[in-house]
Amino acid sequence: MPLQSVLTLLFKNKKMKKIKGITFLIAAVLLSQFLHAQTVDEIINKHVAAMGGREKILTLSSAFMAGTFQATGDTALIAITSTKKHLIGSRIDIEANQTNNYQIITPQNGWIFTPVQGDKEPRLLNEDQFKVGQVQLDLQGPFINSDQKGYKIEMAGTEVIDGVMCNKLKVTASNTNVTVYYIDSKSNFIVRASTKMFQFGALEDVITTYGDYNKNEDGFWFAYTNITPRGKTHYNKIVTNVPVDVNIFKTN
Amino acid sequence: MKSAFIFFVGLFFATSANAQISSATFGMMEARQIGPATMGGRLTAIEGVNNEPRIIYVGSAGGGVWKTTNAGVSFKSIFDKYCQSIGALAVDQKNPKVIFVGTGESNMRNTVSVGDGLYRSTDEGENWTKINGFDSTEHISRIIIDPQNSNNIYVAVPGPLWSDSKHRGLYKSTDGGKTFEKIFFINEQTGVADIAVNTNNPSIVYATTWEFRRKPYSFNSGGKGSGIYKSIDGGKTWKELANGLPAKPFGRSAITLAPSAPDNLIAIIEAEKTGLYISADGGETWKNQSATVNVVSRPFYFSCLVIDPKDPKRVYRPGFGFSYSDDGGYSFADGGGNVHSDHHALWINPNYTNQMYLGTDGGLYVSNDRGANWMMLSVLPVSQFYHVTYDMKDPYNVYGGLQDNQSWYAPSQSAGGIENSDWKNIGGGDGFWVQVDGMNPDIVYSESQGGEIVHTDLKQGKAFGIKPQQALNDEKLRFNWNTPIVIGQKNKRNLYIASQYLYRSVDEGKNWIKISPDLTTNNKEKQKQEQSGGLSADNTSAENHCTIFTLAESPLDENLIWAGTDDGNLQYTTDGGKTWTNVAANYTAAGIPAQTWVSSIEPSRFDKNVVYASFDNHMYGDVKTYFAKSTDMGKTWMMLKSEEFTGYAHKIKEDNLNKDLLFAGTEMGLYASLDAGTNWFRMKNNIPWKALVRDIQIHPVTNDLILATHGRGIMIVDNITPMRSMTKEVAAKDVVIFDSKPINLTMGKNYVGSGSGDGYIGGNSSQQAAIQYYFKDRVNSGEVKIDIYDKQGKLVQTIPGSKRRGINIVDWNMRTTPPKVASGGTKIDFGGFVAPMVLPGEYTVKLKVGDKQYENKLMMQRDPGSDMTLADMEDQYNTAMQLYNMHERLGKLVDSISNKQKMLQQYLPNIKNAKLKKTVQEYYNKLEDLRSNLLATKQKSQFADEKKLREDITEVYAAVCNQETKPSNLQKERTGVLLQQVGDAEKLGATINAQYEQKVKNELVKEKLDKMDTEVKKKDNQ
Repeated sequence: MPLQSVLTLLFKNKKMKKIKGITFLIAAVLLSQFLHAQTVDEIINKHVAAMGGREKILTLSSAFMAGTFQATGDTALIAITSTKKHLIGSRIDIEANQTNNYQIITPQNGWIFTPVQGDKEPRLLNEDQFKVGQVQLDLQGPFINSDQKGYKIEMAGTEVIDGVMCNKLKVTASNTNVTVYYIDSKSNFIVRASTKMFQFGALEDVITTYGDYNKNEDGFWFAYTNITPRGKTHYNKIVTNVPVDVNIFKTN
Repeated sequence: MKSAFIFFVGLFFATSANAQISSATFGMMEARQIGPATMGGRLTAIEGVNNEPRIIYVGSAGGGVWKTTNAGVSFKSIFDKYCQSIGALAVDQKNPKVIFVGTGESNMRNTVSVGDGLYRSTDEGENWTKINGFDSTEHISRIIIDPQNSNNIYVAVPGPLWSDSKHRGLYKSTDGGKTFEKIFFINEQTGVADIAVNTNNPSIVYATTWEFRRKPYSFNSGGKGSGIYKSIDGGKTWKELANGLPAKPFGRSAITLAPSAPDNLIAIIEAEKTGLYISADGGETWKNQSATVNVVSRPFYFSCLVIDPKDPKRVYRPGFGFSYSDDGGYSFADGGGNVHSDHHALWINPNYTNQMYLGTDGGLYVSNDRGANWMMLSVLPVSQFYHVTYDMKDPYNVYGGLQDNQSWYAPSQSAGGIENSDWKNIGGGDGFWVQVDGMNPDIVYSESQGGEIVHTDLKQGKAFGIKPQQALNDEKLRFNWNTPIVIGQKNKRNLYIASQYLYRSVDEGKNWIKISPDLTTNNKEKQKQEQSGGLSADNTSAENHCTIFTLAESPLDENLIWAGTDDGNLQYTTDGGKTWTNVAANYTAAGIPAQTWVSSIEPSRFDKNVVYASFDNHMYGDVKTYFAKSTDMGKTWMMLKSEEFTGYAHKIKEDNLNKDLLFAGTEMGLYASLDAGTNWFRMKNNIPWKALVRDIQIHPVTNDLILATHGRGIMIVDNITPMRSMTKEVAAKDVVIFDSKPINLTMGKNYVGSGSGDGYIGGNSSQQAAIQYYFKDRVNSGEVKIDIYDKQGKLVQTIPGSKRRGINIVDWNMRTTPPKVASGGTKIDFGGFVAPMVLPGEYTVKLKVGDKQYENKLMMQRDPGSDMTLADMEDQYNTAMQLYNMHERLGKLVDSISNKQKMLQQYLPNIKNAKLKKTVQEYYNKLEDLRSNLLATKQKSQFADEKKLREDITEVYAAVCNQETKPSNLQKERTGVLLQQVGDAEKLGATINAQYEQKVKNELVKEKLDKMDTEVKKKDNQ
């Protein structure tokens, strides 16, 4: 029987007046769970708090991450490292078959070098890949100083992801990149990101699922695991605010 | 007072507890949508983006809205959370991000579905908002956006088919679709069928009104309310047009104008003599023109009329066939090309008017020559099944009948996925029930409308009709449009079919025994189908009434048979048909309206006294959901209710093994109950939330849930075992690893070939071992992984685990971890990606969640259907492991060589002694000579292959690992040869090292560069 019907049933009986107050109180609490729509700012604030708080995140300037990548359907673990200097550069290195493969993103350009696939020299990322790759530069994430960075953030509804109710925030970057973040309404961590990317000429949603949230030794929260259609990356170690030689963001 | 309060509080806690099990719990058990798309379902609306005509939206009768961004090469469904019956689409061409969807198809045939309102997207279909005021409209036929001012939007609402309604009429928005106001209304029997807006002066609007009504046993199109109207003030005032038009009453009329010359109007008017009418003065005067049969036939069903956007003389009439005119409608010819009949939507690319897209009862077509030739875009899986069944083959086949598209069957798995070409035709007409004979799997029964049942022998390719005929003293037989054909559940030899009488055959339908009297109300007032149609006669067996619509033999007793009729009777016999008891009055006592269609009956397989039934009253204007259960053989009934239910009920199904697990299908969704019908949840696991679920089956071997949808083809939820295991007790635990049946070790039989890759391809089920576990909540902190150990405690493989709330399913490929092959060289060796399949036996699954660990056993067994003996499997495994170990030995040798070479290279530039330098270089070169014989080091491209020892090992290794047979004599002989070669290589490496290593070391000491030995050993040991 729906809640409303129960209340109606109760109030039809005049003798029940005394419990009206109590039932209204309970009803109000219950209904508020359904009726309270969170604003974008509320969702962002809770998320930022879950990630350690704005002040803490603002101190994050660089990160070095080391772990393994396991391609979908494959069992081999491949060594992967990711080095980021906030808004300066991002470099991902993958050791495969005794070859060093990397991707570099800077605000100016992006490169990819995959000798394991037969590359003889680094290639420039195409414009779409470069645009999408820009998100990697923002170590602090789009929810810190969003306006200053040119992000437009909109509420995009709610959806159940991995069995949990998520708030959806649509983030449009100044370069027109669009990513929808799915933020767990309970834990306030990002569960999924869906980014519009050109795949073979068509705009497709590329979905990344995040998990294994932990604080590193410096007290910064990271998702130590992410899964894309290509495979799973798991970081064993994330060190932060370490010196980063900007020369690594140049091709060798 | 106290008890009421406790009840209230109890409700709160009960709600909290139940909330743990929901649709999300089973979200990972995603349905496979296997099509077909070789014969699509009915398409009702097509709209493209004028400035970017590769973007096209297609609306279907029961499969939602689809979007292509590549002019039809592929489509994506964009309306899966909403009503799947689509009546109209509109794109704001000034801002094509804005799209409107009017739900509720308006081709008012007997099986037309209903809508639940109007929706708007402002982001090209990514998100949708329901617009207030249309919830009860049920059918929307047209949406037109003012071409000059996008704030003005008109929505034509014919309204409900089966009842009076105040919600009919023409609606208008002046704020871009945020709000609407009804601007034109005739009466509760008459809606607005069509509209046209003058492109030069959008204040001029035309509307056709239509009075119509269906009853379960008749159809009427036409009445005083029907007419053609014109407004010159944007819909504020209207005048009826009559000059030159036929005498009233009218039926349904289609109207259109030439976008490039909007005073030119054409209308097809259903009247006593249905005709084509043309106006050249904005509708003030009309002239009747001769027309082909196709142009004027069946106007209630064919309401599409389109004029070329640029050429006012070029007119198209998609109807039963495709007709066109080159003189503004004065004369028509029929178009050519191989295209399915029954056309309902046409969109012409305004930038290249030779190109057009046509929506038919059989799918979507494209023409690039103005309709002369058509090509089907067989990528839209919107087929409309009525029923589904399966056989016991491996893989099993699914069988079913399709609205306007015959009967078909296809394998549930196929090489490369289930393609259109996998579907085989097995019967004609509109297809409904298909059954596989209970004794002979090569005999299949299919039917077309009105009980035209056909016996087909798949082996011999013979087919013949077996429809029961009227016997002496019988009344004329009345077969439903969708006549039930059923195989006995207890006695598989029994074949049943029903008119108003029930027939049984025990010889494949060659002879029939009538085992019931007329089980219907036999109300003669409901049997005047010859008078059906209204202005246009329409009697295609769709209105046949007072018939048996559903029947079932008890799985526990072949003499217990239930039959439900379309006029409200629900009867059973316990003596094989000698006597019958009608329990209609009993179910009405439970609150189900009398004379309701009994849409399905499900006698329990656990208790003879228990029976479930679904009831469909939408043909009397009541779209509520009625499911009921009786535990006393129909004497009393209890309604099964849920706030989740939407749509009228088609089917209720009890699980084969768990009496508390029920599934229910309605016109708007699939539902499950884990507690015998007390609580229900909507299933959303890759199933459109409001899918039209007509039939539900559960395969007894694979435990697959098989759905017949009326708009999204066949869907299969593989292996519902986790649903059977899910209880409140399980749901309360943090983590549960479910027990698994012994798993057959197979590499995926029936996967020979790879398919054509053309058209729509439905997915296969996983052929790997499924490890199933439950998380009470999503794991946000801590890694989730699964380690699998053999009985000796050796780690066989590690698999990343999923971490969603509810059921998680992770596949293990039943193999070990691949070997570490020799690295380096100029190509990737795929031996490092291949692993032997494990041997039968007990394995331990260790689910690691952060720092916690959960264990369960997994039994792997030899596939009983395989021709490989256990000895064969061991032989294969042992040979594969020999080669596996060779790879690892070779890898170690190559690593050692590479490390030494790396060190030597580091020292070379620092060595000043020329003799030592020469020796070190020699040492390096010898190692390189050896290395280059161990793996490909010179291959320059993938088109110039090079094979060395590593690649030679892989050739045999991969073959042995991936074949489902024991190794051949030559494979084994070759393994021995390779083993010898690996040994030789190791010896040669040792010889080279013996020759140079100490000598070089000594000399390096002299040169004070003696770290080499330590460094190399250190590397070697890593």
